[in-house]
Order: sequence, then C-alpha cells, then structure tokens
Amino acid sequence: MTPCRAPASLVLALLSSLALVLQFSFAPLCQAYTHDYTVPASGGCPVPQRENIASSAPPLARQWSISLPSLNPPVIITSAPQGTAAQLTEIENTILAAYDVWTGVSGTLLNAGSFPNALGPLARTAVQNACSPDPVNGLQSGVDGVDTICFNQSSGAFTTGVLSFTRIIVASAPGQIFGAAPPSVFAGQILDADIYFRNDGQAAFATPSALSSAPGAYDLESLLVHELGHVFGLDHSGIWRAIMFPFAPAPGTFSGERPTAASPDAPLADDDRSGLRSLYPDPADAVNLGYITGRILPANPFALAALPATSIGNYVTGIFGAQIVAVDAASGSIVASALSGWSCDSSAANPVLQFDGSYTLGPLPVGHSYVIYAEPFTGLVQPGDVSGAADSACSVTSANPCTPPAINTNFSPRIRP
Amino acid sequence: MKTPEPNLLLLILFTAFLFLMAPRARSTVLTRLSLRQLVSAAHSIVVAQAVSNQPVWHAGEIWTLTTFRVLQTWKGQARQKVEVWMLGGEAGRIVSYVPGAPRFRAGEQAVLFLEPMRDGEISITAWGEGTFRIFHDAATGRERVTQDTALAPEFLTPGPPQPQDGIRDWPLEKFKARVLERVGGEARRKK
Repeated sequence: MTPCRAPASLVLALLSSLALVLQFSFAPLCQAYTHDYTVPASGGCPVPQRENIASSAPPLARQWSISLPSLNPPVIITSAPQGTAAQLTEIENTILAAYDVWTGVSGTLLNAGSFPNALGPLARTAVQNACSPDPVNGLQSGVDGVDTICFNQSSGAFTTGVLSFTRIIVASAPGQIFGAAPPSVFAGQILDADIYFRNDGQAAFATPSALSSAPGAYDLESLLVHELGHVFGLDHSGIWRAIMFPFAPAPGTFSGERPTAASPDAPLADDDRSGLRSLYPDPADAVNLGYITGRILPANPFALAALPATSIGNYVTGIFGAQIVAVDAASGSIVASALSGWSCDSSAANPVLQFDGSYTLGPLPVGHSYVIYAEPFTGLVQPGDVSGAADSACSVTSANPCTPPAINTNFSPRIRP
Repeated sequence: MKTPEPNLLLLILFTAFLFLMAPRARSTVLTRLSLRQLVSAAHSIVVAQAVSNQPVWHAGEIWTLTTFRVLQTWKGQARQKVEVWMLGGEAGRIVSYVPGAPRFRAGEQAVLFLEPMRDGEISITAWGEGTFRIFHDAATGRERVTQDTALAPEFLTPGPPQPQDGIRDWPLEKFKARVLERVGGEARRKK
C-alpha cells in the first residue's frame, strides 16, 4: 500500500482557516460520505455494512415491481402513456440508468467494465408488495435476498414529507439465514435492501424525459441513484454536490449532470466514488491505493476528562465526530472525507473500540498531494445526521458493549506546524 | 518545511468558489416543508426527553419505539409520555436499518412534531424535518434548538427568497414563540 503524501503543515493551517472562513461566510464546504457499521454478534471490531460482491458470490439479485399506483393524477409520470408496456420500459430504463451510475465507478468490484457479472439482470415482478415482509409471518418472509424497488408498496413509515426510503437487512454474523436469502458470508453483509417510493398521491415522480412537462413531480432518476447508494451501503453525505446528500430539489427541477454512455457516473461526486471504492475496492486497481490516517486531538487534553467512559475502563481520548476532508492540492477538488472517532485493533484477542479521534481517508489516487482539514458538525450536517453511524459502531449486545460519546462540535481546528 | 506557493492558495480559493457555485445535489428522501406546513401537519408538538429505546415487531417489520417523557406540549393534548415509532432497529440477530430515520439516545431532548401513522401509532412528521434537537449552550446557560435537516439552500424553490429556512441554533424560547404563533394562527383559521 502506498501512503499518500500530505502537504506542508502550513498549508494545512491555511486551508483550515480558509475552510472556517468560508463556513461562516456562506455555509460549510462539505462533509462526508459515511458508512453504517454492524458489530459482529460474536463481538469484535465494527464492520461496515456492504453487499456481498465477492467473485465467488452469485450476481446480486435485483428486481422491480411493475405494480404502479393507479391514481389520478398519476404518481409515476412518463413520456409514454400511462398503463402501457412502453411506460414500463421507460421506467425500467430509468432504473437501469440509475444502476449504471454506480457500476460506472472505476476501481470497484461493482464496475461493469471490469466485473460485468457483479449484478444479475433486472427482473420484473407483478407482486405489488414485493418489498414488504409478510405481516403475518414476520420480517423473515420478506427477506428474499433480492434487492427490490417498489412504487406501489404502502408503508406506515411515510409520514408527511417523506418521498422514498431504503430498508436494509444486515447480518451480524456469518452463516445467518433470514427468509429466502442465502446464508450470510460475513458480519455486516447486506442481505436484503428494498426501496420504497411513496404511493399515496402525496408526491409524484417523473422520468427524465417527462420531468420538464411535470412541474409538480420529483426527478425519479435522481431519487433512484440516491436510494441505490443506500442499497450498496452508503449513508448520507453532507457534500452539496454528492448524490448521497439527503434532500430533493423542488419538484419539476433538476440540476447537475445526467449519466451518459461515455460518463455513466457523471451524477456522482468524488465523495460518492470514494465511499463506494472504500466498500468494494478492486484488488487490481492501480490508481486508488492511498490512505491518509491520523488522530484528531484537542489542544487541551483535559477538555476530554469530563466525558463519561464509553465502556468499563475506556475513556474518550480524542475528538469524536470531527469531519476530516481531503482536498486534491493540484485540482482543489474535494476527493474524500471521513468521520473521525474510533480505532479498533482487529488482531487483538478481545478487541475493544477506542474513541481516540482516529480517522482514515481513502482510498485515494496515488501520486497526488492532499490538503486535509478538520471541521465540526455545526453546518449543513448536524450531529443528529451522523449519530446513527456513530451508534452503529457500538452495540449493547456484543461481547464488548459500549456507548459512543456524543458528537464533539466544541472545537476550532488549529494545526500545529 | 516548504512554504505554500501563492498560486496554490489562489487555486484553492478559486476552486472553493467554483464548488460553491456548483449545481446542488439532486436526490433524497424528503420534501421541503416550511414551519407553517410542519405545524399544520403535526397533530401534536412536544418538548420531550428520550427515556428508552425498544425494538418492536410491527406489521412484519422491526421498528424502534422510543419512549419520551413530555416536558412541554405546544400543540395537541397534553400528556406525560409519548411513544414514538420509527422504522428500523435491531431485534435479536436481525438488524434492520433505514438511513435518515431519526434515532435518539436516552437523555436526549428534542422538540418533536408528531403525527399518527396509518395504524394510529405515533411517528415523526417528515422524520428529520420534524426533529429539533435541544442543546445546552454552556456559554449562555440557555437552551438552543437545531432542526435535524437545517439545510436551507437545498430547500429553496425558484422565485424570490423565502424566509422559512431550516432552523439552526435558535434559542429555544425564540423557536417556541415562533411555533406557538403558527399554532395560534392555525387555530384562528379553523374557527
């Protein structure tokens, strides 16, 4: 592994100051992609949640329900007439384009060019509630191991204002069997990930070709790309340009870039790509090999003394929840970001989570210099937006239960020369 | 130690400017709701403190039921506690995760905009949009609130600037006054 070279610390200090100035003047520049973690049932270090895309695994099964809401005005708006085969084809093409955005990212095991069989064919099902567990037999009957998209699946979770969401079922140990899904291979494996779109007429969604004539509808392709990011294990990002930023523009509007044949991942930001590469690194990738690691510490170590222990005998020894951002020094582009917080020695006999302010940025392209800075979550993304990721690093049921500290926003970055 | 080259700083400034001008993100789970819309959609608005979390099976799914002790009621019928349902949770060996669904730690305080789900159980209006976490400002000793989704620029619709930006770091009393004003206005309209 080739470590990335960090630039001169003075540049760090200057950019850090710059970032803070911009934060106060406009809004924060960026936050990060985040992953959610699963603590193995047997204890040990938290592992990120991800699909099983190993070469030995069968292609990822996926389908969509062709059952559409039959409301007037329509919920799914297409250029093709409602209720026709052409409409289904148009929707399906939109779904496929959204998948292609993620499989277009280079340096991952999902990349369609390098691994054309990572995903199975997109199947259709006529079952209206294909995403739903059987309410009689419980959740397991709904865990079919097939990632499903539903446009006509009702859910009580759709309170006012919620357009779509993804529900993910994760294994906490190898060999676990839920419903019809194949046994899990590793802890943190996403066994089933289903996408629900609101179907009660409170929101409408339009394919790209129909959006301009549907001022009241949300861009279906964008929402699909975002939700598929969750399917692959990404959580929300605070970077404005990132597809994993969690909010929709106004109905009838679209900004950014559409995927093209030449650039299928055009809608993504580098932060999205880095997040995907960190989950599914391609061993043959000769470009994205660099990592920057470190710890974020307060200038006054006694500032942490009042924080409660996270587990018996373990205390907070670093800034938890700082946002660490890597900027390509040559291009000025934000290439990755991460949440500082904890470390865990997986080689230890009985690994314990240490809340020591550790962070890892990467994988990043080698041969570049990077400027990094830290910032508190006091801007676009608030502690509440990332506390889920923090909570998921701990478990009260594992062999080493812990309670994560609160996200620390009470600091101003200063970089020592 | 190398000294940064001036053109590098200029480049950083320029690219930062370009970034700020770049197209905004396009995806999501939420639509934009103004405070007036939130007040209207919510059947009750409470200041509450999380007491406990419990995973429950409901309609074939895992939900997290968070029990809150109600400290104040700003809208709706006053009560001592409320049980809030959010999709996802951990039950035994099964982890069901729903990105964007608010989670609360015991002891945490928040202003919650609540509405009944289809089956009558209580959940949060627009998830993070109806969640305003309360922070204690050590400098002033006062309590402040921030909406989980205080992300004003992405919510703006075309046309003239709108005042209903996300709520970020407001004094609790100011927020309370604003909400009660909306609640009062809604009550007057219904008469």
